[in-house]
Amino acid sequence: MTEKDNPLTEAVYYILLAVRKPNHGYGIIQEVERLTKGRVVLGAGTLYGAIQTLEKRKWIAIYSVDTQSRKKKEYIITDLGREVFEAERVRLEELLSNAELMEEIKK
Amino acid sequence: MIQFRLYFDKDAETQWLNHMSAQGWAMKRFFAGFYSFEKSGKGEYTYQVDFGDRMFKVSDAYREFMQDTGIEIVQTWGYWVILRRKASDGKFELYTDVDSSIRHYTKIRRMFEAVTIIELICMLVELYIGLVTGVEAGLACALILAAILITCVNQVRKLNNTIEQLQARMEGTEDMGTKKRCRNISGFMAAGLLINSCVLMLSESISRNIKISVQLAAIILMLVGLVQTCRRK
Repeated sequence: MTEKDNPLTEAVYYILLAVRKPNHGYGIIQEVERLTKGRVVLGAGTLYGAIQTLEKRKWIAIYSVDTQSRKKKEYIITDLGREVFEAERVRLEELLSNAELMEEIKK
Repeated sequence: MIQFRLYFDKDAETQWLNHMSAQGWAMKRFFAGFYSFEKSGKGEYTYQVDFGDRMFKVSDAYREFMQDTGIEIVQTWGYWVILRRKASDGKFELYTDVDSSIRHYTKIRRMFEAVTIIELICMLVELYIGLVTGVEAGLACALILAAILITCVNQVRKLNNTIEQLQARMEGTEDMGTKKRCRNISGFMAAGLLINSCVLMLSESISRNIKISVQLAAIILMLVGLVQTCRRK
């Protein structure tokens, strides 16, 4: 993991979250839409590009492909992916806790 | 129904395909500028044009992914991929964040830049053949290539503008009164070059008077184009 992995883009953040359990392309789009209450609807091109990149970086891996019954290809987050996500969570927590400074001045 | 169109701008092409779809014409096939349409329900499909990684085909991963997402690959042509999805499945967009849009348009720009350089080299070769060896067909080809060259340069400029705007949006510097209009080479210029090229190719079968008057018209057209290009801002 390198410095420039963080901050994650919103799309990457939610894709990693959506593959915490095995999930396929369309499933990821739906899950992200649900998690954000419809605010983020990933376009097919955006998601495809992100999946290719994340696979290359080994943050996600192919979980299952069943060519016989033409089951949809599923992805799952890797340990490295979890590490990156955790680092991002720590960063976001820092941002949020510092946000409270804004309230101090009001008082 | 078959319609002939030459699109260099994928956003304009997408808009046209969706306009046709709204009128009940679903695009089914494409070959060298000829789009064939089939009757369908009004607005049954939403079309999108993507830029792939390979010429005239897509990778298995891409095909599978699109199928799983309910998207149909209608046609591949060069690096272009024409996709569609049933409008009843919801809004169909390809690139939904600034990051991926910039990457997408950058890939397209790179292709146009490469084509521009190739066209330029071909044009110079034809020009040499036309002027030095005196073969008029060479000169005619050079003029056609020049017209295509102008179109490609315009596309690169337009894409530069699009990418700049996207970057400004990402950095939050848009709407700060710095909206630049890109300077384009006028279409009259390309038209003049094409007409001149036609005259050269037909020079044996048309009379001298027609040839001179058409060429004069073409030169005027190019001059108008030149003036327009310089004044446009």
